[in-house]
Amino acid sequence: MTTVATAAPRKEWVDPRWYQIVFLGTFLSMGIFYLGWNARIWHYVAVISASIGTQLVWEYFTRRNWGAVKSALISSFSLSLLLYTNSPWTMALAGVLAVSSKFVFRTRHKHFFNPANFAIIVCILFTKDAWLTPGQWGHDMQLMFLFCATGLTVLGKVGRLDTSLVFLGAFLGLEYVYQILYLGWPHDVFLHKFTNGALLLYAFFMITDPRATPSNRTGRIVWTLCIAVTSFIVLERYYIFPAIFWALFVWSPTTLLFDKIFRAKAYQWTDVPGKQAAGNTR
Amino acid sequence: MPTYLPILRSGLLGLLLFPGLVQAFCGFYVAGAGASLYNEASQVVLVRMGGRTTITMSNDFKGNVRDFALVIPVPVVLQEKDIRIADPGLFGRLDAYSAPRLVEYWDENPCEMVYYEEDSFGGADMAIDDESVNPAGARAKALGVTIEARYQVGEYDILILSGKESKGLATWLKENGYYLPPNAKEVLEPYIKNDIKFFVVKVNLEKLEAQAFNSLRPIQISYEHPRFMLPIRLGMANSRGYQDLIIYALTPKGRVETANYRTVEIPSNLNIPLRIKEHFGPFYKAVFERAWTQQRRSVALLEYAWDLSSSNFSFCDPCSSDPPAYADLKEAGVFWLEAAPADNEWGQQADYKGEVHFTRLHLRYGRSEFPEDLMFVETSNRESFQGRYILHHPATGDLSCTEGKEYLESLKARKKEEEVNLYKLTGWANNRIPGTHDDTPGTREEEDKNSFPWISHDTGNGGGNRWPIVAVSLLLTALLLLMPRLLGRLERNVSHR
Repeated sequence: MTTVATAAPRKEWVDPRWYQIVFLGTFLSMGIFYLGWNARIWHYVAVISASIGTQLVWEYFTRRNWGAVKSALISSFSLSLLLYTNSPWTMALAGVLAVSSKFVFRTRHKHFFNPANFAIIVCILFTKDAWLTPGQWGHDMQLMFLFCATGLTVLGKVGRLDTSLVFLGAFLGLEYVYQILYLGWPHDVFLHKFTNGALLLYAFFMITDPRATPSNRTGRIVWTLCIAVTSFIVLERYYIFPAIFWALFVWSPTTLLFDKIFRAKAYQWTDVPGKQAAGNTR
Repeated sequence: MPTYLPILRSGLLGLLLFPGLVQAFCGFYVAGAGASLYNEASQVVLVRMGGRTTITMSNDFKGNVRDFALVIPVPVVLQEKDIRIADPGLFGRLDAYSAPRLVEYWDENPCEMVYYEEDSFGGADMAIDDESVNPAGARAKALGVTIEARYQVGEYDILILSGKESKGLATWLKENGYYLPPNAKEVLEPYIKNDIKFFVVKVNLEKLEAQAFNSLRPIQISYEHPRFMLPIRLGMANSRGYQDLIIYALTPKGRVETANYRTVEIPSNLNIPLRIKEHFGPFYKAVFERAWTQQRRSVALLEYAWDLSSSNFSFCDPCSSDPPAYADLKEAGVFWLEAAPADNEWGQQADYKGEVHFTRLHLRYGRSEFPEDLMFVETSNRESFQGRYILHHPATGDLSCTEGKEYLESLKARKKEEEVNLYKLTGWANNRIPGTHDDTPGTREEEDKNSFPWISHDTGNGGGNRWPIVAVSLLLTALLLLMPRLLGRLERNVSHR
């Protein structure tokens, strides 16, 4: 298991997105078969096909980089894992929004919203049919271990381990100081907060999107700290549960600003070896 | 302090005890007042819209009312208008409407024709709340305790306290005759630091005697605060075991879920054997217990969810009792509906206008699985759900026609399915209903061997549930080792082409 963080992607045997696809796909299957998220199969079909379809349409009219379909698949898995709706059509809409956001909200080199996060927030704000279920994963230790282990693997490969660790460190650190040291709750309260599946999924698989985070490591760390502090305040002051998703949404556009201040080369997926499209993989 | 044996029971919101009482109190619920399945269940109606929350707590305290006392953490200092006495019948009506139900169907005789369906319900009602305690006189501010307000509402004397530190508050409570379990201090401290107030209730005996009835009525409190939660920690301070809590939530948008614990639907809509008809109470208790254990005891189980908005066509299906009417909803604290004449043209229609969603959650919580107070989120989920178990009565009469023979064949398969369901739902050894003649050894020994070979003696403790995660972990490890090579080769091949 590679856990070494690097600022720039290393030469890998394979596009790290394959790892994400396999891991997220596994979580989804576990949700369906182990946690009993049955009866939502059409929602998953809707979001996956809408995402892939949208990606193909956009690619056809732009760079025709068909390998980017992997990204669409990852976004649709993230949406399947996190977003809930009454109607499969809303899920499909989320898929379309997620993928389109990459093409609409972008500069020359990168997009600045995490696609799944963008779709989640927009659907919650505008459809009246979408919601998040923060407690859905329960507090199963084995499951949490699995999230951490697979998350670390992928992040080691894309070089965004710093983002995850800084976020978890800062957010949980603040929670620890406030809940345990200041308020005086016993330690199992903290453990209970830490073993939240949605939080770990977010920290390992969403906030770390290398194409939607500042490219420079220092910039990225400052940016991540901002998200962690915002999440903490929104959660403890306003008691809004999906605080982390709102915080990421609000801070995402500032990626551009951070890139201006802290200069670095934009991240490239090790997409198709030997045929790297300059600055335009998605 | 040996005389101060703790008894805090129910606790929704914590409570304190007073000296004495204890032993008698413990024995009290065991007797079982027929209707209640769970002898230590609290019931709460939770109404929330925008930032406004209304909480109604059932009060089934049946000890000496002199000993009753209740302490509830609240986020703000309540005004007198925010505290009222609710109709004691409210809980019974909400419970009857939403309790898990048994439904029956009669098969048609394929050689004749006919028939319809009917429903009955073996209401899994519940009840019980409460606590105890005694008098409190106002005294020292030296302890850092401020009496923020003092009200007299119905038969209750109410104080709202805030404290500067837990020790002072604990001392004050003790000096005023409240017994505080030792563990309660670990909870008081965080509450005080979080600027939580304490709503302290005891019974005003004169008022109570002046009333026509002498049982305690539910207390209802309302406040504006962004927190959507129920404090359960104080009530667990010295409880040894698990406590049942039934929450009836009424919100405008959709289903209510626990935000910091998993919310899971109770297994439902399954065919079960006819013999359960007489034993629906024990059956449902076993279903709940098993589902709860399988979810590692750290879960809120959804028993009912229904869209009661006036625009909805059907308010229950089947109905185990009348759906809540405008008066009930208003009594519960739903303030955003408008009264409107019921339209009888369609049979059952609302006598109000507006959006409201009903959620019934059933929790069984203990200190180790529930370290945090319950936080809730209102989702946009408007899907209906009910705990529903189905009996099918076989057709009777002459079944000698061809269809009749086929029917008898299918009946065998169905019977088997019913037994499998019963086992999956309850985990009862050999599918015997505990405590009934059905349980007599020997009577069905042979039949069991032949009919239920698939039934093992699994105790349903959830211990066997870990294998999927272990298997997935192994599979992922294998994939990690193999995938780079396989996919790398594949992708290179594709790109060369």
